[in-house]
Amino acid sequence: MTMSRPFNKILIANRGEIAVRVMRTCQEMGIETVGVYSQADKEALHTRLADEAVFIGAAEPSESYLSIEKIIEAAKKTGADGVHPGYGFLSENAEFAAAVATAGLVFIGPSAETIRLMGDKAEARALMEKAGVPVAPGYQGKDDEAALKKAAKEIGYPILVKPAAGGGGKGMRVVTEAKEFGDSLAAARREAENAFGDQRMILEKYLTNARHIEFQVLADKEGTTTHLFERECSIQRRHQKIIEETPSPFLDVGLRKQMGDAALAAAKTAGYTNAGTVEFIVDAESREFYFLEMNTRLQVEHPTTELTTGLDLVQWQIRIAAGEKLPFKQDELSPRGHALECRIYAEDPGNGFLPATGTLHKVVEPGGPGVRVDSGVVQGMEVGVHYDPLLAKVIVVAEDRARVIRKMKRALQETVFLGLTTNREFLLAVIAHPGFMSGIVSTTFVDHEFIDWKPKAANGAPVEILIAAAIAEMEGKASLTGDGDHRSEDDEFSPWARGMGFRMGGGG
Amino acid sequence: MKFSYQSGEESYSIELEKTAQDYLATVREERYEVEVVTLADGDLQLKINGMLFRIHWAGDSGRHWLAFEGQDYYLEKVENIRRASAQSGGGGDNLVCAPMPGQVRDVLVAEGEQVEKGQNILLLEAMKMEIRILAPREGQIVNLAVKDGETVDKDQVLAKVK
Repeated sequence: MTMSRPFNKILIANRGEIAVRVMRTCQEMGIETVGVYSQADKEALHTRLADEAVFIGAAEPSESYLSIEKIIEAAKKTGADGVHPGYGFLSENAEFAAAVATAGLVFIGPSAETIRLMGDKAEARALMEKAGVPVAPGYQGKDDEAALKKAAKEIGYPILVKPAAGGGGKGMRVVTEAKEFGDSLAAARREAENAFGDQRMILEKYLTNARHIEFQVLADKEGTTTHLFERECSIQRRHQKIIEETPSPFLDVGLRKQMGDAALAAAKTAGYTNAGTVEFIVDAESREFYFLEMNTRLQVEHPTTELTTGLDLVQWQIRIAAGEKLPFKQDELSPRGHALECRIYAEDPGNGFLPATGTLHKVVEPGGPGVRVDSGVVQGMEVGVHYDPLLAKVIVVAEDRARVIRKMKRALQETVFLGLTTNREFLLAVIAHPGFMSGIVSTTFVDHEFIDWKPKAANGAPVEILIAAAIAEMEGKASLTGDGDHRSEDDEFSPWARGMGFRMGGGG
Repeated sequence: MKFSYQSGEESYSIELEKTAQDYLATVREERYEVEVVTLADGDLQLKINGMLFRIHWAGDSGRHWLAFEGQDYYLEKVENIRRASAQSGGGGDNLVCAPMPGQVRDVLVAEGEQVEKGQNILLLEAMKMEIRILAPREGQIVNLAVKDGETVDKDQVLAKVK
């Protein structure tokens, strides 16, 4: 159906920072927003920001954000005409996309069939092989343990065991020798069952010196397919991306053209429409690249592309879904500058990166030129265990890579998240590492170089910190959070008695 | 006034004395002149022996979170820790506790079994990840309190190592 009118009302079937980000674009486009929230998100930022918010159930995702029924019901009840799935949750669930269409609503993304096809990593690999897009040596046949083990032997260790239904690094295991295969397979299957409800596994040759480079694609429903260049996502911790950038410091003009063409071929073969990402793994030594998978949704790291291209990808998703044609051709696109993103997670890098929970007693977001923050949290919020621990993304853009790294350092130092443990200090350590600064990294960089990393606090609390805590206690009595009234009436020496933020002492 | 804080495994004492200029702090017998330049909304600017420090602070009943020059710190009032420890019957590193709420996936040891420090005792599933719970020290597993499939809370005692 070709629609020339834009949407009146879009339901955002997600939460946290991505829901907020999508809602902001909808607001700019004059489109009303419907948010959905679980019990745990009653006071969440996305719930407050939506024009209408519909309660959809208990905190457990299966009861709320993964409930196709409840979300469709909310869309119908509020009269939404479009549904944006965000990333994660139901965004790559073909059944959901089909259910949205059946309900007479527009799913803002590719077709259900494309989602299904690309979502099955085994089928996607097979399709790409047929289309002549290079794929990593691997196996996607019968996945009983014996067959997998035999294939692993043929491909050669080390091997990566990956869920056929999966993504986001969950359920993946690297197996270095045959005798570990059984246990790793079992563990991977358990995680996959939990994360995706599907235990099927495929195998891929694990490249030990590899870079993860992906291409953003954007295609309209009239057959115009473009790519918006690459993002390098090699800074990963246990297969989870933590820092991404564009352009990739590894690509030269020739390789970028080759990979861009392959990304276009992949998207066209899949009959792709709307926004998506083709992920490649690049052998850092041979410079050969291989198709990994295609993500049929917006990626977490999409803001980096937005900052160097000047395009609002969510806006284009909505416009394409409404039937608009892309007005630009591939050769008219030219990115500018260098963008970098750091993901701030509620986790403890000094303690196995275990997820952290608590109340965000103090939040300060960085600002200034070239600094963007996509956040789903606000000061005072409780961060619990139910969902992914991503608190916010800090994305910066500058003229070149050296400048953008300096800007990120400044922005992260300005960033404050107090009340629970975050990976902020860890991120600063990564971008300060000479390996990162030189741009010579692989997907094992973080796992190898930071294996013994500990925060400064592990060496003890410096005097300045002890003094600050004691003074805060002495002065503030209860707590010094931002409500403003801290006068200490009795004590004429107390800085509180002289009013807020009044600079004293002078001199020095 | 005296304050005692714990940071990680270490405890610290600090004494603060009011002066005409603001405060005199004593830590490990070293004295520091402290001038409070700004103190608002958890934003502290302190001149310590003439050097200016900007520190972000947030606190909640004896727990302090501080950020300073890209580093994050957490201090807990020593009295809080002593009280909590007394309540859980002596605590310390003989207890194997759940680091967060989750579900027990696989108990790998039996009551009475001898284990080594760092040995994998059980698998906990939390936030879609599998977390290995390791023995804090070598010894014998006693009071194994959970079984496969059971849901546990953060800090819940899973077993003791004697």
